[in-house]
Amino acid sequence: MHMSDALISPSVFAATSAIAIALVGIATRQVSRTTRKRSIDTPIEEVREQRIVPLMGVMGALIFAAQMLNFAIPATGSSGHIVGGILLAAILGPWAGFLTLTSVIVVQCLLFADGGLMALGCNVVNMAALSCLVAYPLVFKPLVHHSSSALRWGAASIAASITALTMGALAVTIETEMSGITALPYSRFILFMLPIHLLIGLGEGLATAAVIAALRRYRPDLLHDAEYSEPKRRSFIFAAIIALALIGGTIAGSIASTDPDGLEWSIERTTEGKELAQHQSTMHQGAAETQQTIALLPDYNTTLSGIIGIGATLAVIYSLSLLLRRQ
Amino acid sequence: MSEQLHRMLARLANFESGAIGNQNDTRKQAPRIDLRARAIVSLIYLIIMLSVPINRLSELLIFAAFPIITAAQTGVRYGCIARQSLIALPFVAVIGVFNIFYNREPIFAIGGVIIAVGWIEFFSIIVRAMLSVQALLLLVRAEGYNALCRALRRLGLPSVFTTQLLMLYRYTSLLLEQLLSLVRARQARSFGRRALPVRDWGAVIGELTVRTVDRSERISQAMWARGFRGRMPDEQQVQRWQWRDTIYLTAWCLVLSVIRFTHPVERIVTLFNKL
Repeated sequence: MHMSDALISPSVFAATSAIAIALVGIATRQVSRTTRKRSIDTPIEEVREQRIVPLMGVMGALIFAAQMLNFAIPATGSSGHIVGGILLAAILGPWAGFLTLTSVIVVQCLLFADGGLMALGCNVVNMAALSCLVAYPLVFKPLVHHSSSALRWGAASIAASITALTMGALAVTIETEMSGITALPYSRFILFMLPIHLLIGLGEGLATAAVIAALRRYRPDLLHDAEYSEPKRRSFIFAAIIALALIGGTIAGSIASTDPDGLEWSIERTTEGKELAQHQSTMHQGAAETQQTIALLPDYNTTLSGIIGIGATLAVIYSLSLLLRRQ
Repeated sequence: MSEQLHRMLARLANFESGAIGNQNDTRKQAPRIDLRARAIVSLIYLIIMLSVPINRLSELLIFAAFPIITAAQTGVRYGCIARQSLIALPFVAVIGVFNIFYNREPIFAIGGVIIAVGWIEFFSIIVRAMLSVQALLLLVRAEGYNALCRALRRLGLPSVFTTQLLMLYRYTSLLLEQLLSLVRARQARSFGRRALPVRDWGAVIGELTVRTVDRSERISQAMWARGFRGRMPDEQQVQRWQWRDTIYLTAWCLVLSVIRFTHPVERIVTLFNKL
């Protein structure tokens, strides 16, 4: 998912760097506040905060090594690999996890030139911020609590990892398009990026589930346990809507963009490839223009529309169920 | 696999001291520019170089002067850096290819062969990628990773973050050592059965994480016993910012701005046409 300097414009660099710097500033303050609590005389075993420095180093090293296994995604200028944000946030908490993942991205940039200096802001936002600060609190945390079964922890890991990866991939396409360096059309670009990241997300979810299962078994004290209280029902449903929208939208969008839908297919068959006669009355044209003006996604890209569409549908269904229950 | 892990460990140790691509130690006798000045110049170079419009390949090529001159100045072999910058190629080449297909407007002809704008843009993307990777590699390889982290700290980055950068790097060798020991144990008892069954992967990753965390905690306890309190100590003897650093920074900013805004290639071509 690392973006390259060559595809970034100075304006995108400035915007994403500003966001990344602000987030690193907040994360540093949050982590410093946790580490400052300890006193020198307290035995190290008793204070969890004292473990945060080596734990951040080790977990960072683990993700750093895991991200070394990467491959070039055809036609996107981006690499495919696991991100590991959910695992880091689950063990270290969202802010320390964000800071650790940022340090991994910085080290990769400095040592292996994987993702450039100009693209650093983009990479931090796409990978670290979206996974630790968005997917973790919105999807992972509401889905699990202390007494959840191993299966539920696994399902939450997979749902949150897929959400993080698809959101990150979506951000890559938006930033690359806004830079305007590549001539690749947006619809094609998104089609190359999203389905592959859905699969990587699935793999990452399984790996995250394996590590969390091992930690729950041998070192349950290492999980960021203070965070996993009983989740509220509403946040659980919200988490499920986000995950389902991203996963369903990506799958539906990928299928829709490769094959015409049933109606288009049948029209194609009956007209034997010929275009339908253009019976365009003024009313037809007027309706079409109005539709273009009021539609939220006029030049609609199937995958993006799929995600937004499924999300909106699930949200409407949930709101309706709330209304009905109150009556 | 154990050979690969050994190679990676050796590579990490080299990065720490900055030993990769360095020619003997002639650079040590020459006055050294403060790493902070070099980091700022590298960033300015990247911003100016990447702001060159994508269809101006000739203008972009002049910017290759910066990595070549910096390599000579710091005693790093440019060939080594150029070779390593090729790693960026697979990522950018696959996306650059689309410019060839989508922008077919002809721009000029060489002996009957018509060159389209897309080709210029394609090579422009490749050159941008190579030059930006080279600038970055030169920044780290000349002085080593530790020196760079110290420079970042002195540039005002929070110590929590710079400590994490150093820790991450050091714990990577710890993780690789634990992985090496797991691989060795598996080889010793597998008697030629090569592949690890997929169902065991999760257990191996979990085991590796738990072992590395345990080991890191023992190291951390030893560090605390010796006075470490969660932050890397600041340097005792720091190299002060000197006049030569200011001159270096100003000179490069001027040169890069002149190249970017006065279009020297166009001027030379116009001059030749007039002659």
